[in-house]
This record gives sequence, structure tokens and C-alpha cells, in this order.
Amino acid sequence: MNRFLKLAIILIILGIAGFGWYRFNRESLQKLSSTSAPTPTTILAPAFPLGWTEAPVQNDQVAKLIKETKTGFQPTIVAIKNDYSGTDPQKYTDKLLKGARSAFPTLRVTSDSVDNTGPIFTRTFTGYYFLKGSKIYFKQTLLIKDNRLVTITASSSADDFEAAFAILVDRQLLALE
Amino acid sequence: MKIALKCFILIFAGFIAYNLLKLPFNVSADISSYTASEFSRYCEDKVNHSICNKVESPSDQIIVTCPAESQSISEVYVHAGDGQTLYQLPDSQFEAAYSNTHNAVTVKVTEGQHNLSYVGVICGVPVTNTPTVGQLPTNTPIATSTPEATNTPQPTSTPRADNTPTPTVEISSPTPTEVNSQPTATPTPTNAPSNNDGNNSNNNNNNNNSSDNNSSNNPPAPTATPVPAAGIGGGNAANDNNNPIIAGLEASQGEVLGESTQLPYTGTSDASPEKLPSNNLRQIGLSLAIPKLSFLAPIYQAVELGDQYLVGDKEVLEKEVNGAYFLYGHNSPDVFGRLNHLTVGDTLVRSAFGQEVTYRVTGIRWVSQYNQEVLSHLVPGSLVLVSCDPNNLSLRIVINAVPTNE
Repeated sequence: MNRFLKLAIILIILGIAGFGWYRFNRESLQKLSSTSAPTPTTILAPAFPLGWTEAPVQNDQVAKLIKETKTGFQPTIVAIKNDYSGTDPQKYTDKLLKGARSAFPTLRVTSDSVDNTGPIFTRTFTGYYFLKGSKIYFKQTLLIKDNRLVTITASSSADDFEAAFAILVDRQLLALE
Repeated sequence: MKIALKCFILIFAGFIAYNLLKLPFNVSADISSYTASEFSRYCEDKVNHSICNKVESPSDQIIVTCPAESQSISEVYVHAGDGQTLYQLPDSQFEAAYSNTHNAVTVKVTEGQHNLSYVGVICGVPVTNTPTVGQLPTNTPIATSTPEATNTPQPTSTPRADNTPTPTVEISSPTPTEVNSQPTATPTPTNAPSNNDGNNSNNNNNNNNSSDNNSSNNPPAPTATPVPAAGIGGGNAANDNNNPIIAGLEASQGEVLGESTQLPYTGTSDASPEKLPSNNLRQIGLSLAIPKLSFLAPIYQAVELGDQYLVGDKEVLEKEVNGAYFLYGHNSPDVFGRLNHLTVGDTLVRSAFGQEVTYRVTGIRWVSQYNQEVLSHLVPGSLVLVSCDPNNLSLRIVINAVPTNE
């Protein structure tokens, strides 16, 4: 009986000691089990591409992104909200485009696409204009839903804004829905 | 043997007691699956710069903000100097206070002997109602809920060429417009036009003062002022002139180095029957009349985009240069397309808040579009009108005028 008691005490002590050892070495064990750098589990909206940062916005602006450059034209994407009171988004945006062409002498529109199948009317222009001898590429998307109009415009001397522009458009689509 | 066993038992009893005492301090600790150096590497990776920020400052309090103002903190990690252990908050050893709508966090040590080594945050943009990126609306038509079984086939959604760019739409070179030498309206005595759009009441303080000074030195102009030509300026409220396309281009314009090299491009071949929106602001109380041409128009505030003047449709725009008024407009017949009918000695009337100042044309010349002297040699108090020559768009017609009492 005495033997059994001693054996039981030893087993209990070993068990507790094992537990203590595990607690001391828990971090090391976890490190061994992780094979690669873990990724955050939180679902995040896509981040803007490297180099693009958000800038302070004015009252009518929803968001503004700038890309740092050392010289020349600073690539910029801006989203602006307006009220919309028209009845036909196609005709309304046609008139805006005619007005822009009339006012802005070097504005050239090279593509013009419309999506009016969903609840949000979407019209996208691409093209370029000249500023002080520099050719500036632009892309512009107008989103219209109910009485809301959001204009997202990117301007850059290089065609380097597509990814950031797409993310900003997606965010504005989400906000309009 | 018994002594050895007792020693063994005592040693383990002490070990157990130590662990039991330590347990309450770690009971709520959430040790991250990162190690401290793994998280550092993760955060320093260029790919994660826009969502991860880490502040390294050995102290008992560290403040960290998200990389961008619009983001909010989703995860906070603390390294307190104990080896590679990285704690993910909340943790009872640390106190976290969030600010700026979850954009910044202040972490303090609440217990334990360690100071903070670094605090890192992972941020995201708050997405309400969590539609994830994969749920973004696409161009794919949404299927209707109940397909009806009818004998008549229902037309399905017609595939559109949404993403296919349409053929390049280039502005063709304007063709010379034919100048209508006949006045379009009979001059009748009237007051200066009233501008009823109340959006830009603070635009013309300078102009107001300037014109007041002029008018104080000059006798009032003749009261017979022509009525506005049809189609220009009449009843265009400022709100109707909003143009989000141009507003977007203006707002997205980055900094461009260099100097303006051209006079306004005022050529046009696309005369629209209605006023097209230009986003330019109409100046309340300001107008220009040219009695010989039966021309009367409100004045808009000049806007430059980089080195370019935005020349709105059916607009006379004004910029004050060295104390002189520089006005320009398209060469369409209803704006400045008939300036070539003026001769030296003709009169122009600029009205500001009911005070009219009459100017006498002193010179008419044609210059290259690159001739900047037109603007650099203006006489203070004078007036200059500029538009494209209808027959040669690389030339500008320049009308110089001075107040009649000088």
C-alpha cells in the first residue's frame, strides 16, 4: 500500500510538472508549429497599392489619393460627391462631356463606356489633356444613383493609376449601394 | 533513498507552487501566434505598408496610428521585451485606449515589470454591412428571382459592349466660322443685367473696389445699354453651370512645373443652341456691353487649369492682371466672334453693380497665340478683350481699350 501511495504521488507530481513545463514552453511550441508568417484573419477592404496615400479632403470630396513623386506631375485620384437632379443619366452626362470639351481646349477622350443595367448608372471616360507641355492621362468614372452623383477622377503623367483607381471606384460603389 | 525522494517531492512542490502563483497573471493573456520578429517582418514588408504600422519606443506608453486616416484599427500587437513573445490585445497586462474613431491607439503597461518594446497595429477600412470585395457589383446582369415558363421567349439581357472602348472621340480642328456682321438684336435702353444666382457673392470684392475707383473718376456711361444677345448669359444660374467632369479634372490636377505659354484657346466650331455647363462661376453684378455689336453678357470668373484657361461655352471670362481687366471668350458669333468688326474709337461698357465705366478702343491687333506680351504690358485700369481669330485659330485678336476720361 505504501508503495502504491508513493507511486501515485510521483505520478501526480510528474503530471503537474509536465503541465508546468508546457506552460513555460508554450510560446516555443507555438513557434515551432507555425510554418510561415501568419496573415491577419480580419476581413479588410483592399488596401491601396504601394506609393498611394490618402490626402486630406475638401468638403465636397469623398476621398483623395496621391502618389508621391519627386518631380513633375503628382498623380492624384479624387472622388467628389454631387447632387443629381436629372432624369436621364445618359443625356445628362452627354451634356457634361460636351461642356467639358468646350471649356477645356486640350481635353481628348479616347474611350467612353456606359453601364446602365444595374441600379447604379456608371459612365467611364479615359483620355488625356496637356498641361504646360506635359501629356496628362486621365480616367474618370461617374456613378449615379437616385439623387446622388459621385465622380472619381485620376490624373497622372503615366498610366499608373489603374489599381488604385479601381479600388476607389469599388469603395464608392459600395457606399452608393 | 527516502531523503532523496523527499527532496525530489519538495523541489517539485516548489515548482508547482510557482506555477500556481503565476497562473492568475496570465489567465487573460492572449499570446499572439506571431513571434515578435515575425510581426516585424510582416509589418516591414512593402506589401503590408498600407495596412500595418509599428512604433518602436521602449517606454511604458506608446501611441500608434493607422497608415491612413480613413482606416480603423482591427488588431493590436504588443511586444514587451520578453523574448519573442508577442501579445495580441486585449490583454490584462496592457491597457489600450482608442481614439480618432479607432484610427489611433494608446497602449500602456498595467502590470508586470516589463516596459513596452513596440506596439503594432493592423488596420482596415471599416466596411459597414460587410459586403466583401467579392460581392461587389459586377457588370453581370442579376438573375431575376422566378423565371417564368411562358411560350413566348422573353428577351434576355442584351450583352453590351460596356468595357469595350468606343472609337476614339477626338475634337476635330475647329473650322473657321463665318462671322455674322449684322447685329442680332436692336439696342434698347435698359439697365445693366441683374444676376440672380446667389452662389458667388464673395467673388468680386476686388473687382467691385476696382470698378468703384474707376467710376469715381469717370462720368457715368451712357444709359443706353444694349440688351443681351440671344443665347448668352440669359438666365444661366450658377447651379446650371456645374460640371462634375471639369470639377474632377481640376481636383485631380497635380502640381506642374513651368510657366504659362499661351493665350486662351478660344476657338470653337461646335456652337450649341443651349449653354453647356463649364463649372465656371458667374460674377454677380458684372457685365460687359459692346454697343456697336449689340452685345451684352455677364462676366464669369476666369479659371486656369495648369497653364490653360478654361473657356466656358457662351461665357465671357475675366481676370484682373496688373490692375487691368483681361476678358476673353470663344470666337463663336454669340460671344467674341465679331470682335473684328470693332474699330478704334468704338466704346465698350463694363458694368459692376450698376456702376458703368465706358472704355474707348485704342488698338486692334492680331498676335500669335504664344504672345505673352499681351498680358505683361497691360496699362492699369485698361481693358483688353481676346479671342481666337475666326479664320486662323493660331492667332488671337486683341482689343485694347482705356477709360474714356483718360
